[in-house]
Amino acid sequence: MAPRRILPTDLPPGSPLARRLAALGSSGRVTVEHDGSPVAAVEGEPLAVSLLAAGQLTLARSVKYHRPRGAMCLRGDCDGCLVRVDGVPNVMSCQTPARAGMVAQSQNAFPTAGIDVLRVTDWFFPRHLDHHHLLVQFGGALNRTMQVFARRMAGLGTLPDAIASFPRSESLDVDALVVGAGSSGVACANALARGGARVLLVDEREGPGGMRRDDPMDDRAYPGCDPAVTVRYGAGAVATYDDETLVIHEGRGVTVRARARVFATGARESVGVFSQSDVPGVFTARAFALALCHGVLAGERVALVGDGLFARSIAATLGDRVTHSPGAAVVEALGGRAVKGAKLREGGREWTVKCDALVVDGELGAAYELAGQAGASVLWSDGRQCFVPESDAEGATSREGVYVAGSLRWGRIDHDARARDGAAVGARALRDLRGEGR
Amino acid sequence: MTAKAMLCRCEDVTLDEVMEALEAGHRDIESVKRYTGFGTGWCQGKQCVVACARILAKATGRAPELPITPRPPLHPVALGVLASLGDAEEG
Ligand code: FES
Repeated sequence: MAPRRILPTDLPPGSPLARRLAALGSSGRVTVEHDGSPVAAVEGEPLAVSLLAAGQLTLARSVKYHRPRGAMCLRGDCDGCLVRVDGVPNVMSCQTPARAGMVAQSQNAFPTAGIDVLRVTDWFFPRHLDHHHLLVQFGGALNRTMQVFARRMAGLGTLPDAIASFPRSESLDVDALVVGAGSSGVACANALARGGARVLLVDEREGPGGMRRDDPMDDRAYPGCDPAVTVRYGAGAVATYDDETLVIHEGRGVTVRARARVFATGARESVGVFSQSDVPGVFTARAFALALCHGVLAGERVALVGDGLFARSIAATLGDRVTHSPGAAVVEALGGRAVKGAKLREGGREWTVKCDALVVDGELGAAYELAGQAGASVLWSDGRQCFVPESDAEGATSREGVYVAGSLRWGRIDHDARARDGAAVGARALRDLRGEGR
Repeated sequence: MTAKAMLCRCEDVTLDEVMEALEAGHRDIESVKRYTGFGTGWCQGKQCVVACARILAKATGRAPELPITPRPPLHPVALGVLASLGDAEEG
């Protein structure tokens, strides 16, 4: 049994996902290549999803122990989906839209990610190989040997086939930059634009909606952007300093100078830390849900753990095709090259389930990094058990001109609440731009 | 494959290693990072910084107040893109 594509007719009629898949239609079928084999893909879907649909769970090997690696988060938060694409190493395939004729190769493995002889490293060091510690503690010959060993065994990918030429960068000047086109980001950008500010809204995804794009139970239209907002999709903000933010838009660098910067970057899903949590076939609930929204069932026998929004949506969509244990915790994932089962625990009881996809809706962590780079103070929150940028009632942070909105500052609140928050933060930023008091 | 609980997938740092760092007396997240190398890989700690903070909170009864400094870039960027920033087209 393996992952496969599903059709709207595989789902109960009237289910929101069936409607979404029917709207996608069957257009845009293309072929990509993975390690020499043709793979059927849908143009524009994340390449990692195409590879998943073809049953390619193992895409690479980890740097130190050469453990199998596969897509886990499908949203740019892990190391699982790195492949060589068209001769360029270390491409995050979950952030790369599939295009006809793309050539993907597994990397960091000899000879392939499926059978990698360097995996013996994992068996030689059954507990762990602490290279940092070793290199510091031992001098001389051992240190040199370890350096050679580390260099041979570690590392990500090999150099590109050719020297690429990069397009000229672009620089933009706006009043406000909003990062993240989910419910709060769009509402915030609209509020700013309607107040007359020149607004740029960027999002690394291919369209608006944020987490709603990945919810198979959500088939309502996303609120539109005001025509006065300049929108760039496929545009990820990667760094921010002083009043400048570097955005990578379709492979091109864009420096954005903005007097107000609003971060609506949301929260990151996790599977948590348990034994063998890195085995391919272990997914965050959001990743599994995201694949579903592209019509890809990432496993035939699905063990679903947790009670978050995405776990509930998956359970509601797939019904008894999944074994859902909302209150359980994962003790251990079973299987070597791919997940074969899981040991679960709840209230003193421990049991084992068989599965080919282990889907975990674990704790959330605020995506605070960019706000932190911008100078906002970021502190631990006991309530949310993660680091969160400090903000006042209207989203202003400790750094002038830097704001946070939506799930980033509140955790998982519903769509309407996120939109209201975004609008309020936008109104505040607007007042500050005009130099009005509070 | 030997059973390992990966705290940091990118750098293959196990939960065991973090516990050893704690036993060796490293109590703050910054020195645990230096001792084990967690959070220094491809993803720059998007998953493991908060996971490590939760472990520290449980083990020591006190969560770290601050995360390790989130440094740019958020995602890896090709050097060619950075090199091209000098000659921008004004928009
Ligand atoms: S980064 Fe692509 S699957 Fe996690």
